[in-house]
Amino acid sequence: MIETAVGRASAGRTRDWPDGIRRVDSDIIDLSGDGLWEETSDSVRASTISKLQDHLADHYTRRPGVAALCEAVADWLADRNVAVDPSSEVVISNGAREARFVALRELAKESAVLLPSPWMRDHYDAARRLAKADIRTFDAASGSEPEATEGDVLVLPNPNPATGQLYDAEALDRLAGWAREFDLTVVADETLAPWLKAQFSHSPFAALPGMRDRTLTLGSFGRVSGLNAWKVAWFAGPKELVTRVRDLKQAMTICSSAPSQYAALAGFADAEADLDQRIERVKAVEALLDRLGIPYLRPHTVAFVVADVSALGGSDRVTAACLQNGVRVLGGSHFGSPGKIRITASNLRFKEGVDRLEQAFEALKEEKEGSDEG
Amino acid sequence: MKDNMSKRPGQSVSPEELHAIAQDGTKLRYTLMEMANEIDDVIALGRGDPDLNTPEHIVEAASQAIRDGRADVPAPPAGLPELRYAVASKLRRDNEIPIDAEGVLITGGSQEGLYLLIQSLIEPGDEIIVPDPRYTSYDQAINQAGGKMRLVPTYPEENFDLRPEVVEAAITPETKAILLVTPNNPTAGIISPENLRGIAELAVARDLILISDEIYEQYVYPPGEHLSVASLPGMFERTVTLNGVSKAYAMTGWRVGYVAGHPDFIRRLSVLKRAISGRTAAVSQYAALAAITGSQQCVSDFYATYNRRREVMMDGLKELGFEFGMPLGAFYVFTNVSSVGLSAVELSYLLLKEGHVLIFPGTAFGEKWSDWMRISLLQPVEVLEEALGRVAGVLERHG
Repeated sequence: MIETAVGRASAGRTRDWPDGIRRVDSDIIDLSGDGLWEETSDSVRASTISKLQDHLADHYTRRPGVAALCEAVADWLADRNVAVDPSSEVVISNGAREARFVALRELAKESAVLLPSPWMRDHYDAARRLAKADIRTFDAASGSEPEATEGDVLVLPNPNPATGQLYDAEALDRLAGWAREFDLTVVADETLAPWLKAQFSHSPFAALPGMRDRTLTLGSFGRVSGLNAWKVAWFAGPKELVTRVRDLKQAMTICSSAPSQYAALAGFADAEADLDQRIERVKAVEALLDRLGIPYLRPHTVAFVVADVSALGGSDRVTAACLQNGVRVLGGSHFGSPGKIRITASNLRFKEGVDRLEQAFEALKEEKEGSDEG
Repeated sequence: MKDNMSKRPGQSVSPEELHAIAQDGTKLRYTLMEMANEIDDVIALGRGDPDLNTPEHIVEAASQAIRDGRADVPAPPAGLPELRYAVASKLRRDNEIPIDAEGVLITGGSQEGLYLLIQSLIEPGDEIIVPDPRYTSYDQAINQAGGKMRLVPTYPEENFDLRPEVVEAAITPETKAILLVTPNNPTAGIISPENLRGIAELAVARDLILISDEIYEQYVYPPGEHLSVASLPGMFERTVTLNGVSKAYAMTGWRVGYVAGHPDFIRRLSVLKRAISGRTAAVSQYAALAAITGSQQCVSDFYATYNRRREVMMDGLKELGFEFGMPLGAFYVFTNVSSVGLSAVELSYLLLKEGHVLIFPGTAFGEKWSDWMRISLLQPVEVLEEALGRVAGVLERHG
């Protein structure tokens, strides 16, 4: 493969800007991100360039998004037993973060947010700091859902980016029953669903009985290689919920970036890209953790591995040691799991990143063994 | 060519329904656009979306960023360093604002910039002075922050300029900021340098923040003159400037704007942007970089085009007997239609249904403007002439 800007950028920026911007960095390999950092496919590039050159991306798109892209999302949901009207019940957002913010800012402005632990800081911050909502966390796996008030908002990330795992069917049925009992609105963050390994299947929460009309589904084009930098995602659900959230999104950004929408549309045709390379990366992380005896949650997706580093001194100690060794991982304070770290299985310098992780972990182990002996 | 909106035959709105939403400017605009979308031969003089194409050198720069993979690299949350640098250079060179790149935040359009800075600046109960009529998306951002708008009038006989005395009369102990929009949407007025200096003195004397929306700065017509208030002595520290590439370079679809101000404030704003929406699409930022650093001949060409259309529209409106404040900026004409004897909402409905011409009524820009309409100049001259003919036909039938 020819050297591209992705490769050059992941090798560290080398330019200084004479005008006050701090030099971005560094030789740090980032394995902490939410998205998979990859290159777009040749077909996505060619198709998007063609749209740009035809001047299709010059102007505002429809407020909810390019019609064909909304239709593609609706078809994708229909294949999973969720019927939405592409003209009024699907909106394209400038990335998943914007979708999370507008959903919680609008839907949770006068109610409590019910958030299963462990949670991602994105969800917590969007609800607490930005929407200023009252948050109640609970352990969804244990079946001990808290009391709720009619109209409260259940935020359900599935797969959960804090664990890399799906909720099991029993837990989902129980949560659906709870949502019915207390007439909850549900924000189902399913942005990781396209990254599931082949042996796992995902069914949208909105497909469960009685959930369609109370659930706003957040989704991504994650299966499309390399769209992380293009900032494009979607939300869909019943018109009443979608209209409220869309109005806020439109007040913020009018519509989403047209070039990015066309890239996502091109990628949709490509969306069955094989996951082999991504699976291999996850296996490399698992192999490293197995070799060093570090426990981890068996990942259901090809996106992350969540490791328990309590025995190495805890999340803060380990993230600092990794950073010193030139690799960034996500500390557990970002996802409600103080003893854990999250390793993203993506970066064009991924292999080198894993090597650096190994060095950091081994040094920590030696340090720990030394102090235990002492 | 524009995105082909999905048509929904049969969806229709009655005049009564239109009246019912007349006080919600944003909803009114979008409802009218949806109605217009059902009409095949409609002439749209509503939305502020340039009909001209994004210049080829900008499209090519974005295409090249896709080809060589730069578009796949997530940009830093505050924006590409080279774009921030280019914006700062432009603001120093063209606007005489004493700024460096750390004082620039790249956003997903200037509207996102406005939303972010209002959420960051305005606390519940704070008042912000807003010239009326106004682009009602300001209302939504201010309401979301729990702030209160204090509207100050502008007058057609003053070409919708904003006088410091009017602003001063609206200041209360709760006032935190003054929103300046020059050139203005919807009035096409500008704030004269003399009045801007007066407002700046007020801001210093009353310790207020200025928010200066300059998205239409490239389109100011003689004898108008654009002045960036942040360039005045001592004003940079208390001014936040909003701008972007959408209007200047016909790039509304790319969604790139920027906020410029004191680096400490911009750092705070960057944290908020990271939490709310994260990074701005890299491909769009490379397009914006080409726009700002490349040849500005396209802007000169666009200027000549809009100016010619403005003259055609002013002549046509005079023939129809409509009055208007002299449009000294942007690409709109804000005109009084009271001589017709119908409200602007009623006339807008008739023009759309019978004349197939979309023009927004003034109530889309403020409750008081029921005798006014905003006409956008974003159609070729021959289409504007056709639209004027259709308007004359409708008026004849209902005159």
